[in-house]
Amino acid sequence: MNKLLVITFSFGYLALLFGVAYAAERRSAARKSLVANPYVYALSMAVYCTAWAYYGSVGRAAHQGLSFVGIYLGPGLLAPAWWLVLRKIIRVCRQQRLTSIADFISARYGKSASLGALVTGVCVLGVVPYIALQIKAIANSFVVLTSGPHPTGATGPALFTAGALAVFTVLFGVRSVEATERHEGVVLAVALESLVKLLAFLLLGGFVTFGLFGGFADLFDQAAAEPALRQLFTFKSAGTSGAEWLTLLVLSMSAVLLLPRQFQVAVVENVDENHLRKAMWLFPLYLLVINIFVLPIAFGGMLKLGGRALDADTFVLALPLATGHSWLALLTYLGGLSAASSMIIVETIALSVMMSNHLLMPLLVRVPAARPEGQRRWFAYLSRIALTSRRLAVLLVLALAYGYYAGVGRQLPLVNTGLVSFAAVAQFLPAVLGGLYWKGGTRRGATLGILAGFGIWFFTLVLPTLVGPGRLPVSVLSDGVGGLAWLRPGALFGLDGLDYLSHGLFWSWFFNVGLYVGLSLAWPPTALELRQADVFVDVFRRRSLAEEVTGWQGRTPLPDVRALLYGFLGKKRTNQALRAFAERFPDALPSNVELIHATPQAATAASPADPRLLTYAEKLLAGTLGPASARLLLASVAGAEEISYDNVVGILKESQQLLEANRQLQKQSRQLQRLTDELRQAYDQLQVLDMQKDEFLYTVTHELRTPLTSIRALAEILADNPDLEEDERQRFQHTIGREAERLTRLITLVLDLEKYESGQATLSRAPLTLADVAQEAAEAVEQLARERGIALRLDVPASLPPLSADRDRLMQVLINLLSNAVKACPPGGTGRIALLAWPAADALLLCVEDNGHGIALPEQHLIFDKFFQAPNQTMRKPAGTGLGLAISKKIVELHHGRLWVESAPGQGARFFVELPLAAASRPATSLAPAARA
Amino acid sequence: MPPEPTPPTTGQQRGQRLLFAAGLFAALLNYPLLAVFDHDGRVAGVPMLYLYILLTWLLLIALTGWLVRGRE
Repeated sequence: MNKLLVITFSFGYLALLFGVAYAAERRSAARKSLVANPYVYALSMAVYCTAWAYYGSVGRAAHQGLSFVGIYLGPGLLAPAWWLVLRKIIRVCRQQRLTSIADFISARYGKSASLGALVTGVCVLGVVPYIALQIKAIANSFVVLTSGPHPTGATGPALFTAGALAVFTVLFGVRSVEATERHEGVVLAVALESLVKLLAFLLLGGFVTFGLFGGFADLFDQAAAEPALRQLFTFKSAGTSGAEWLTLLVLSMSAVLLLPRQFQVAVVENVDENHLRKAMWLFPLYLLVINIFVLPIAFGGMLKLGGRALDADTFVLALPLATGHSWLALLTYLGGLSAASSMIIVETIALSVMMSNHLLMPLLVRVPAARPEGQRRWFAYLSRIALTSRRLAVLLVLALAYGYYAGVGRQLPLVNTGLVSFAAVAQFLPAVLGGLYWKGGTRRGATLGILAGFGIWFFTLVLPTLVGPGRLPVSVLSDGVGGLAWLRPGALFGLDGLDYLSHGLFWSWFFNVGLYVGLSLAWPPTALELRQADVFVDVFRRRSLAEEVTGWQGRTPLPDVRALLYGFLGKKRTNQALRAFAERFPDALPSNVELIHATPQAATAASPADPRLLTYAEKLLAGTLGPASARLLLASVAGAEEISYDNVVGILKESQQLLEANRQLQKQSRQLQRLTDELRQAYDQLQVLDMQKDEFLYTVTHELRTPLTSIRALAEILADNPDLEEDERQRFQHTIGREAERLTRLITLVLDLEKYESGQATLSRAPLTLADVAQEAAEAVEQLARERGIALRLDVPASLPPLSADRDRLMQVLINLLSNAVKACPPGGTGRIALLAWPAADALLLCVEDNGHGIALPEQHLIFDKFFQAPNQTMRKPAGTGLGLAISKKIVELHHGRLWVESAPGQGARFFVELPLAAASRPATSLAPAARA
Repeated sequence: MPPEPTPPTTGQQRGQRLLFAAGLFAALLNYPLLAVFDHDGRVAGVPMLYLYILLTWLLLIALTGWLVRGRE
């Protein structure tokens, strides 16, 4: 293709990025953020897919089959656990104002400057070759596009690209001295680039699969016909071992968490923790989608271009070019440019802040300690130096990367550079995870662990790449360093049989984890480490008391602190921050007015700063200079921070006890709540019972009044009329007697009922023959039945097993049922009553059957209630007291039996009594309280 | 006593469920289970192993999406 056209498009595309970033910054300044949503967040995370993914995955797939998926599946498998891990890191970083992986590790292990510098060094050494790989990818793709498939001089375009990206990064990536500030322009540009590379790759994949071939089935059929390709279908035949696959997964998992650029987009640029929820499935989905066509493109390339001895990494461009679709090749090239440039931009920003804050600043803030007179002026300079040094660091990183590419990278095979980079940052994993979940980790353990891991990493993974003519002799690989067989980089200490990556990762982690845990356990943590551990590990549980109480204790004059902040943050930002502090801790400042507006002349009269203000100031400075420099800086005004070990331990213990007490309190309060609920229920029940009692009393007195009224009336008549005829008198006296009897009966029944209901009734059980009792009961009502012309049939076999029951009470039940039946039956010869009995499973069943008027279904429950009178009784005086069935039911229940009715209006009624035979063995002689409810 | 109402999913429960999902799928997508699908067969023309990895991965994404659903 025309070189000029490609250059125009490249720069046009970069100009578009500038425009987008500029627009985002403008919108951000106007508080209408384009970035504050989960979709941009998830897309910006896709900076994970670099040019190495874009071109290299296809190359890897063409030679090693499916193993490339592992590099993207790892983050996919880790993503669900982000809710625990990444969210915790985000929370800690926001609370402590940490802005890089170096900040994080340094702050966790006692704000150590040396540890921060070590982490930064590992990052720079591990990642710069990775950036060089991106530059190489851009340069090579440019050459492939413009001059054909065999790249020659590519230094020119590489230099231009690096230059353009440096300008972009300095303009949009390093804007403010406060590193906690988010870079909305960069994030939006990166999100857009993620979209471009995805679309370009999908378009190409679709073109290859459906344009050059007839869909997936056709493509794989053709590939299956080639033995060399067919063996890439499985891990077994492609030579990918289970260990290698696992290593790829684990490496990519740690990379997506710890790579400086991933830390930058996922933690520093995070607007809202809740965005993580969508990103947790959107980001893996992105990785999945971009991987679908990798294998088809690789196979397509091998099938169509296999004979031309091409680098498989260039298939992505060579395929559309070879088939004459140069526009598609151009689009694919822009996709690759997106992938490479977004990685370079974000990685460079992250590295520049780390280098400035951890390599340069700790040295500079130490300088004024020797010359206190110029201190204030020096601090004001420092803030300017910080910003400038970051810009210079951007240039330095890109220059290093370009230098690496130009000097080493063009000769060295760069296939594994990405994974070797991953393995370098994977050395932080023990210190980071341990720091998040284990309070025992110490600075000494972390430092030596990372150092040892890094050393092994270099020996096992980097050294082999340096072997070649003019560099290291091949004998280093075969005979070991210095001819020592146990120092072979590919088989350290004789460990043979693992692949290159698994071997390197195993040994580096072996020493890393071993030293980290071992040394942490060997020496106890210092007070500061202990305090930081508390802050990090318990970030979700509570605010650390220790941090507030055991901070800076010195009596530092307030103006000194303010002057320090002025120097770094500027007047406006300092006042803003102090106002925020005053709102949070109103008691910590003598007077807000003094704090914010006092002139330096009034300094002498000022009171010392509150320790909490010093801690706050330290965090503010940490957001600018990193935690280690901030601590050193504050120490220069506040005197050395003296944290007493006992003090910290005491407070930690106290807060632990507080937490425990709080938990106890919550438990007790829950118990109390449950008791209250139970009490309320009992009260409600009592109220219902009380109402029932009232109702009962009302009915009883009403029932008692009826016979009493008639007795009184008759007695009055007798008293008022002494000359009443004898006949009449006798009739009245007879009625009085009958009514009194009725009254007595009623009272007896009420007392009976009360006895049953209160559970005081007892049974005097004795074995009895049911037939006898039935016979006796039938005799008792026989007279009454005969009077009304009702036939009474008795069918109770004498062979029934003996029943243990209270004879008198049982008799009472039967008589009650029979007399009810008599009352229900029509008089005049058609009435029929039967008393039947038969054995059931372990009970006896009794049935009193009549052919009376029957009972409607809704009333079948009510008839067992106290004082229920059947509504269709037309007699002026009801035939019964309304207590008979209620008492009968109680008696049967006292025998652990059941009493129920089956009936329909006009069909007669059947009352059933079920009496268990086994009841004799049960000692219960009184009603259980539950039966009353 | 009435049955206690189901309490809303807390952050801790959510985290544990998600961790379980990650662990389960890590086991599904590693040896020795992976060896079951590591053979020459093809489904609708697509190599078995490739299809298995991508579909299982998709399932994990769907499961994650379902587990983190709820109010933003």
